[in-house]
Amino acid sequence: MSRWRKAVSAWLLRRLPRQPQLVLGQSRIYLLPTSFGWGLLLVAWAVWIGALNYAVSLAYVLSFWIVSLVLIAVVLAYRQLAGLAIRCGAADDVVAGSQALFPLQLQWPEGESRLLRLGWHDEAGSVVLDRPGEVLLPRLTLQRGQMTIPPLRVYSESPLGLVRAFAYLRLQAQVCVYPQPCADERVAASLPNGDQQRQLQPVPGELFSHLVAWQPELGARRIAWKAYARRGVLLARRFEEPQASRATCLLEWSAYPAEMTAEARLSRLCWQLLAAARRGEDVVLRLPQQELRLSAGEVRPGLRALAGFGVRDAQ
Amino acid sequence: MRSEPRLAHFAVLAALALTVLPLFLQLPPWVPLLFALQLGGRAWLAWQGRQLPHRVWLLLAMIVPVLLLWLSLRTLVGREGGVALLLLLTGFKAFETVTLRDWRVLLGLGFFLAATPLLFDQSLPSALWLLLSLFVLTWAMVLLAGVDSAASPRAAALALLYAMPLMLLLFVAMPRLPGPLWSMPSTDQRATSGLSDSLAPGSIGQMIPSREPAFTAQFRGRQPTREQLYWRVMVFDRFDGARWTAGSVPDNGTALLPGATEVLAYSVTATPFKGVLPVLEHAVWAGEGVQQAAAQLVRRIDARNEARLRYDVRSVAQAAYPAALNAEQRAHYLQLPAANLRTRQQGEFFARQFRDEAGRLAALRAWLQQQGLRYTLSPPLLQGDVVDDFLFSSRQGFCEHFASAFATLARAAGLPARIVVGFQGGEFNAGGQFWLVRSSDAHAWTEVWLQGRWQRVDPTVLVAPSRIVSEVGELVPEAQAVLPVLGRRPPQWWHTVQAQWQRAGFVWQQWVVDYDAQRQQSLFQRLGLGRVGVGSVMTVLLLGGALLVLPLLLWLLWRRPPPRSYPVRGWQLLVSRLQQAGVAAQASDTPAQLRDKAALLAPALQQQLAQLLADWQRWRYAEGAADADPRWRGWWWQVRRFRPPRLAAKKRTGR
Repeated sequence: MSRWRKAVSAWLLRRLPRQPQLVLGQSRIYLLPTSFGWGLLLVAWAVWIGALNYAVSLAYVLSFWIVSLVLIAVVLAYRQLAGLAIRCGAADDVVAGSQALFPLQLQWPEGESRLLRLGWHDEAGSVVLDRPGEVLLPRLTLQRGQMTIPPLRVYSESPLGLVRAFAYLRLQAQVCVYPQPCADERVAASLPNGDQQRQLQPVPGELFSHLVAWQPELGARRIAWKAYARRGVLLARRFEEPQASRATCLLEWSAYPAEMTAEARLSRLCWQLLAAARRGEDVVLRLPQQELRLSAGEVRPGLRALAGFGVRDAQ
Repeated sequence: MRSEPRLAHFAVLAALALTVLPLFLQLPPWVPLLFALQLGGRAWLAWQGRQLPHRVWLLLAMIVPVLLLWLSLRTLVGREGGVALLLLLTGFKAFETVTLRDWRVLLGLGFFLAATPLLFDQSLPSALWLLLSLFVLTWAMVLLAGVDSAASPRAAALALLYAMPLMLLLFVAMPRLPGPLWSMPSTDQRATSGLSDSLAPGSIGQMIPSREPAFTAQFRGRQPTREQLYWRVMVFDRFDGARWTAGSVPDNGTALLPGATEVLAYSVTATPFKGVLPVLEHAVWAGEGVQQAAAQLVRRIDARNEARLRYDVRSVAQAAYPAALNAEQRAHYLQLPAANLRTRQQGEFFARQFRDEAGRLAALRAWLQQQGLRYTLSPPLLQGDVVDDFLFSSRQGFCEHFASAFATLARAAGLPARIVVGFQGGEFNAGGQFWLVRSSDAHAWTEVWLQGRWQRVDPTVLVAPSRIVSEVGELVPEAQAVLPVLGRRPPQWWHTVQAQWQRAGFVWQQWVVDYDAQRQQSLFQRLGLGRVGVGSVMTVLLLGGALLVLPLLLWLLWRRPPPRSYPVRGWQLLVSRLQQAGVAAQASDTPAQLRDKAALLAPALQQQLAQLLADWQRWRYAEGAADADPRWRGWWWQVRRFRPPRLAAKKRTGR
């Protein structure tokens, strides 16, 4: 991509608002001839010169037909994108350094044949779509934190390949990127069963533990609506009292040397957290200004806390 | 279901092959044949999935055909040379196609190649071929763009169709140049007019009349009679005993004709023959692009341009025109070689016998009529004293023999004479209101100068009067129109079909092929736009765009395709039919609601509706129900036939 084109696309992106979902209309669709389109215009010009010189009326017909074809291709390419509705579903959390998969739903009126390509605005690759539906677009995560979906580029050269219709999309969707686990040889401290634990203990039966598949016997009040909205599966919230017999592992921010950077600490804490979950231990995670109590098998809130620590979002 | 790229590649190669097929008629046949082989070879490589040859081999392989081309055509530029070279280079380019971009470059070349057959032929069939080529090229383009192969022909046809109004608008409005940008390359002189630049009776053993059209003429106002249709093209005045040619005698220029006679105004579309154009005897006025020349001929102003053109002329249809001859000219028109002794003696006898020139001419005509000459298109070959042999021994011949003999006789008798070559007659196409003159209408006659006028004498008429009144075909069986395969006289419907085809060709020639700067000007003036200029062209483009292109664009932009599935479409139709009948039906109603709302319909209709709704419900919600179920089609047609009449206003249900 040339510098000029980069500057133009950066300018286009800056003036785009972030939207949870959008329908492409004429204010969002840009149209430019492809190099093939320019080439064919050149051919039309050459034919026109020939027609002019040799006074060949039919060559005028050919030349003008080619020109008209390029012009009509503008409308036809526009039709490929017009009315396209796009939204991004909830993406699953990922670990930094792996691919986040953004589920993108593209819809258009039934019965229209379209051939679209969808990709990130700053990457060359794209996926091809010829029917409405969902595609999973992978994006490499580099940094721990909240990753907002990068700007997308949807384009089409169909049906003639003479004109490219394209649009940039800034959607509103985020994915939680956990810190990359880093092996930590230190043995995590165990929390003795004592007053401290009792203090932490909330009123029994009100501690949210984890989600289980919802059964009608559990009653509608137990349905986790937020989870349903996100995943479309009915889950029930489970409230459990911690098993007193289980070992509790204490993971502390301050347990590492003072010179260690925040990211290194979080990576190690992440590793410890996963290790504790594998061992089936309860975990108490102490971060500055934040303390989480996690029962065995309940890693997600801890990972999310680590991911969200200190940063709001990262690209 | 996107198309496989290989199919698109085959489509590109096929489109190229199809596009250049007409060039087989125009170029040395090995050039298009080699091109076809190149394309076939490329297709084979694609089919086998093999590697393309290295570029060095291609360059080496290119040398031989280009050399051959140079040897056979002696040129690599101009019309034939340039097209042949382009063809060969494109063929080699086909072996360099790897990426999509390469294939698109090849396809672009294909679009350019589509113009090359038009340099040779612009007839209606070649226009149809252009249409076919354009379609196949666009189809290949659509396939290259990745469109599903099943939908691609339709997509290509639609794209071309959508582009057509704009193309027509540009065709009409874009200004044309009156002349070429650079000089035209010399074209080979193909004898299409049925004329040659000299006349040698006796050297031709058999004249095979060609039914090829030579030119067309369209008269405004009264149509001329057949006897008036003497189309003058050339004048031969020098005779060497065997051959008549055009001499270079100074002529007094065009003559003024008496204005009292009726003037025929007409326009002719013809290819110039050595700069001369056919014109009805005798022209009094020549329009734009042409001028009157010596000996009552009409020439093209741009004499080097051999392309077909359309020009306006006015003529007075009469057999004589006044001209003064000085002594030198008189001697020139009396000049005779030493040969043909008997003819000269015969002429001199008449000169002695009849002092009065008019009487002498009458006597000459009478004498010729009495000689028992016979009109035939296959006369015996003559050598030596050609005129003597014809008049006194073989006595068989066609117009050239008669004209030559009479001119010789008249000169010998002391009357200045010359031969005029052109066409006589024509075929009137009543549907298109034009005259079609064929090569077989070529004719030769004589002009004799007496009493200060050049007087037309057609010796052929003296011998075979029906030659002028009727067509050649009726007189000579060889010139008859025959069916191509069956070889017998065609039935009436064949004539009708032919007349229609000629009419289409004429209209085509008039409005498409000959749409040049001049015709554009006259069209603009007829539309009240004045001269072709920036303003008027913009007016036509904008006005035409608003009328032709804008509705199409709006339709393209706002059109929503109908839902495809029969159940959805059928349901919508059913609801709208009920609404038309005055039932307050809505698309969101359930079948039961619809049934209740339609309670005011006639019982038979209600029963029909109930059946339709029951079927809809059963198939729509059945186990494994699919919109593609073939039963839906029948159901859809039943819905289409369901037309409840409008309920009376007072009974209307409405909420």
